[in-house]
Amino acid sequence: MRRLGALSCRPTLWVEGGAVLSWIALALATATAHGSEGAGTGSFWGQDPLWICKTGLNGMAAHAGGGGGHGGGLSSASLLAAAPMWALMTTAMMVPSTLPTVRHVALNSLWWRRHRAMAEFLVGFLAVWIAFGVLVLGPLASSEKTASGWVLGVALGLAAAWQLTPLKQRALRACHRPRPLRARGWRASLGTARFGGRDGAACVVSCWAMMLPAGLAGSTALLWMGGVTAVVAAEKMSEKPRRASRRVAALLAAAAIGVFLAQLVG
Amino acid sequence: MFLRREVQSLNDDTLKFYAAAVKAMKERPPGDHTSWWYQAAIHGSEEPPQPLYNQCVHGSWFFLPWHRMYLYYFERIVRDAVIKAGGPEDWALPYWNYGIDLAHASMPEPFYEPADEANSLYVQERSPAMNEGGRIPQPIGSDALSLACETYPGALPRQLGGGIAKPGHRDREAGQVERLPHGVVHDAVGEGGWMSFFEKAAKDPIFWLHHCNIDRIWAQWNGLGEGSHPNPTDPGWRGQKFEFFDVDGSKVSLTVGQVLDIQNDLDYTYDVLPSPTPEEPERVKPPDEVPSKVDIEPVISGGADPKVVGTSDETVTLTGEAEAARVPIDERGLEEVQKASRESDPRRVYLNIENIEGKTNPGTMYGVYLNLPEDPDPETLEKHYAGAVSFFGIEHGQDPRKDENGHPLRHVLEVGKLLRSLGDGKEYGEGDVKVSFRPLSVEPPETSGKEGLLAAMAAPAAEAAGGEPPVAIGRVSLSVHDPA
Repeated sequence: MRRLGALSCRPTLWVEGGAVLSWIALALATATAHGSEGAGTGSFWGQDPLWICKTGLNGMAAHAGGGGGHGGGLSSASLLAAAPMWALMTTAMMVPSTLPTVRHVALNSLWWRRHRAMAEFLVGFLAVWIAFGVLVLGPLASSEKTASGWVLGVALGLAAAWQLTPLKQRALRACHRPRPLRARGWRASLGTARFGGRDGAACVVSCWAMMLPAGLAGSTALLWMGGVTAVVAAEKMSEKPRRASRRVAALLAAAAIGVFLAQLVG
Repeated sequence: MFLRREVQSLNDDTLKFYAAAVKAMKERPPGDHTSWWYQAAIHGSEEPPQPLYNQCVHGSWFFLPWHRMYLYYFERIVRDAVIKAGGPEDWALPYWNYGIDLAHASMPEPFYEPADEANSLYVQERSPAMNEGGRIPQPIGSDALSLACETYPGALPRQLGGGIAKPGHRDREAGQVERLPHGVVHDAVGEGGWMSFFEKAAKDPIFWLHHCNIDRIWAQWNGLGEGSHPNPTDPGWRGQKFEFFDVDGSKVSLTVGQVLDIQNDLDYTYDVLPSPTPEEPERVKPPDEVPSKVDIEPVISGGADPKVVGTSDETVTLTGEAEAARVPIDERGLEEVQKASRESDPRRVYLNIENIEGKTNPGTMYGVYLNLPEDPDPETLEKHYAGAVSFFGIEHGQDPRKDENGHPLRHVLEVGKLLRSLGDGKEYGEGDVKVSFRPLSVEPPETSGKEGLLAAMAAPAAEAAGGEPPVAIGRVSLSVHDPA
């Protein structure tokens, strides 16, 4: 009864729990991947940021009979087989910043179907992110060679520039736009899932550029993921979105300059 | 201490000197921080931005304190101009309480007579009816709903000051006083003219008397119930700072916490408030017409979030004509509504008008009615009347002026008592709830009493019928709230 009471007062509790569990699962996956890669490939906190996606994708590709293993080209079947991993990552990274919208869905749906409505919203939201992960970030992260520092620097610079475009601002604003939710039946389910899809699409348009450096670096290490999660959440939750975007742009630009300097010195 | 008095009760030269000061301020260079146009632009402007342009705050719990500070510095600037024009040194801004009765519901005559440029208080860009002595419909101008509020923060009925501005909120969360009378009176006076828009409203000299009334409501609400109507103590609210220009044109700032005690901190009071000191009792005499007590027991409300029990399936688009939305309620929802509509049930039933979007404010007020039959006569309209809504600020829902997120408008009306009366008198009956929207008009000057109110409800302005910039109401829903 106490648990039900908590869910009544805080309907998003299970969504928040899902995000936390996703982080724990990712941490375990990272540790497992590290162990299977053997010593010397990097520390737990991300000196080698290829663990999860690279080993995860390749492992899944092998499991799916895609002839994966290290370095093998990944088939579309193997990329699809990686979808659960992307679902886990997306839940961990993107759900925290979209919790206010999930709560909005809960409070504005018929009371007795609020949990179902939240699930429908998340299906739409996560579907867009999983598709982006599988189709765009996946191939980047699972390529045999990590991109050169120059390419990484350019990607960081591109991400910084994207932060300052009107399109980015429009997408960020769209992340806050509520849609009218219907009451019952297929219209309610479809509408709520579509709301999730639109919110996810706006989120992808807003954040795609800062994800590219991650993909190029194969970087899904926990430390980097935590940083991106914090940045995305700070930007989406900010009451002054333009200022937040500019600060993120400055951060990305500084990272780009750092990478370029490292290339020059190295 | 400066005394702000109800404008219709004045029998001195307060408005004459106000007009002189407005004229003097209008003659100052537009770049002068104390000029009429610069002061108006602090609220909003369509001109290229200058320092402190477009600062007005709406749709959050900062609405009331920001406008209190705005009035305070404006009043200092006007008083300085009044003194220079030979006026009294204790000149104070009057307030316009359009809700007292029909005699107070029209603008004071100096604001529209003579209707020419020589009259600095006259503005052509207003409701033509208001400029002919028309009157704010009484249910719209009344402060009863605001004075009956139980808490400051929140955007539900009985919550005065607006939602807590916090990261991630999805709707513009205007409190009771900001929705009504504030927003609706803006449109009653503006009707698509200056008062209907953030960027133009403060150019109209009546704007300041209207907001003075809103400030009076806040101060009076604070004083009701022997301290049971406190302001928020949240440091994030009290510590919030806003900037303005003072009488010498210099930039100054105040925090919210510095403007909560108007008598001791800002050195002004209202004629309806008790005197702060025994030495000046004669200056603080409340007009007889102003209700000094509201017959609702103060309860600190809050509780769980409202439960949605029924929603409409279609978007309603308003273009100046009557429209309706049907809110289906299934068996489960009906049981909740019926129980919550009982007089003995502590829960409240809300009508939520949500996801309101439009490119520009049509400047039309709408009456909202429940289960209204076809071709209603005026008495039927009154029986089914749930409240009034306006769309002041709608254009900034998805296109905010400042660095902020867009928020669609949302109106919430308390309808439990109305549903009960539409049922058998004990609880709501059966069936879906039909929600009708009908344009409201300013009452013509020749009508009187109840006849005027009913005429306004029954007769939409001829020129407003159809063809207006569309306003889309994405959803209408019913929710049940347990404030305990």
